[in-house]
Amino acid sequence: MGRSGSGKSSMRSIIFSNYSAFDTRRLGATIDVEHSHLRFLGNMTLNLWDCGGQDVFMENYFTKQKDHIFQMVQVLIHVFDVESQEVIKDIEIFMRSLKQLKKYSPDAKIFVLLHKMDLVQTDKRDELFQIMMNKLQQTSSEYGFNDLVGFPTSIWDESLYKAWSQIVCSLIPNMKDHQTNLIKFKSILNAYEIILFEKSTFLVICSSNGNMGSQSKSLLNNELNLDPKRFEKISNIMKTFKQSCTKLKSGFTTLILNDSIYVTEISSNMVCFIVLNDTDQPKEIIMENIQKAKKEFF
Amino acid sequence: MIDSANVKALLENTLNGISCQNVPFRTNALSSSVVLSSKNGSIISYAIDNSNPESSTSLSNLKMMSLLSKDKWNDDESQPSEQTTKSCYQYQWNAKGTGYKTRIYTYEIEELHSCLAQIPGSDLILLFVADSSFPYGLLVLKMKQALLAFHDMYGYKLG
Repeated sequence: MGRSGSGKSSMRSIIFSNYSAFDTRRLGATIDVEHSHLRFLGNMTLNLWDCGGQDVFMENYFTKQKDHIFQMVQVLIHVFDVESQEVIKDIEIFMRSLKQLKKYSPDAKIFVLLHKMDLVQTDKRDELFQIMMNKLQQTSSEYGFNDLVGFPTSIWDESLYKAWSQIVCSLIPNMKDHQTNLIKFKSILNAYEIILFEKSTFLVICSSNGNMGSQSKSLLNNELNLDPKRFEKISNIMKTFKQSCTKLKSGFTTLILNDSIYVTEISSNMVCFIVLNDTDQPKEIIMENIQKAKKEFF
Repeated sequence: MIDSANVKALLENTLNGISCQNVPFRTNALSSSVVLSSKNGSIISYAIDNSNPESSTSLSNLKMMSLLSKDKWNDDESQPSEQTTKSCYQYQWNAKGTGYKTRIYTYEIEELHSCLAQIPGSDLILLFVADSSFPYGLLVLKMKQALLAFHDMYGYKLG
């Protein structure tokens, strides 16, 4: 949810429909609510409700449709346009949704995205984000939602991807298990890094070198000299490759590059991306070990 | 799961040649030592002797040999008459209070001597390849000893 023109549908198209940031210019205004159903991690269905942001629709959501819109909400993702002229009004609308959520689904998780960050000068971004977050945190705790999580985002860099990965990860119940399994798996294979992706959206679930976005992670990345944008890049490349696979009327299963990079399905809804330290292991043993590891990831 | 580094180290150990002190006799090192899948003959792990550039084989050669050896082994295992010849040795031993048995075969591949045996109960075959100066009997003895070292892989089924 968010005001008109704040970039809600663009986000959805980039993350879930493989649009490039440039393609999103073609998108028109969303009329009322657009529903999309995404099967995520097999047992979960992500029902994405992209709510049109024009005032007419907004007014409707809070009056006539309120019980329909706000019932059984698991996650509210509220998008703010940093360039907006009417910040007070934006926050007011946020408050109105919180009010309804408190009534209809008090257990919902709330995320706020400060979108279009690329339009703000680089040195002012942190400051602006902090001011805005403080204000929003204050507002949301008034309604009993204390753990508000916010991300600065832009469709032109990896921040959008990172934010969505974390939103989706917060919905996965057995994250801790995946993380520990992955670290064990990494040491057995003597791998440089193993990344776990969700199969259909190719959002990162976790990486063997720590969780995305956390502070310790970025330190670790510097030590290992890893590209901070690699998750997003890999995801983009793999999504494009998967799409070209469909032209051959076959689904993607495994890809091996130079005996050192293995991309393969590790469960019915996850794909692992393995980068090995040494290239002289026969590929059968790697595939065999991946087969054996499948039991642990479900 | 198989720890590839451990298996490789173990295979490298099996490469060492045999030397006799009482009679002046020593063999060359094995040219290669391989663990392969008994299902499709693909190489799971291998070690190649690099000290002797003449005898060392390339990986693609090794893959081919593994495939051929696995085919031959499959034929022999399915025909009881092949198991009564002199090139097949029944081998039984005890480890950790359990009895194990397997059949050790010796084959000639062009000018090379090879020896293989199934790791008991598993989907894996241990294969030694040596040059023609390496006596078959010694290969079999070596195999018998080496099989003991692979006890962690007894009964290993491929996924």
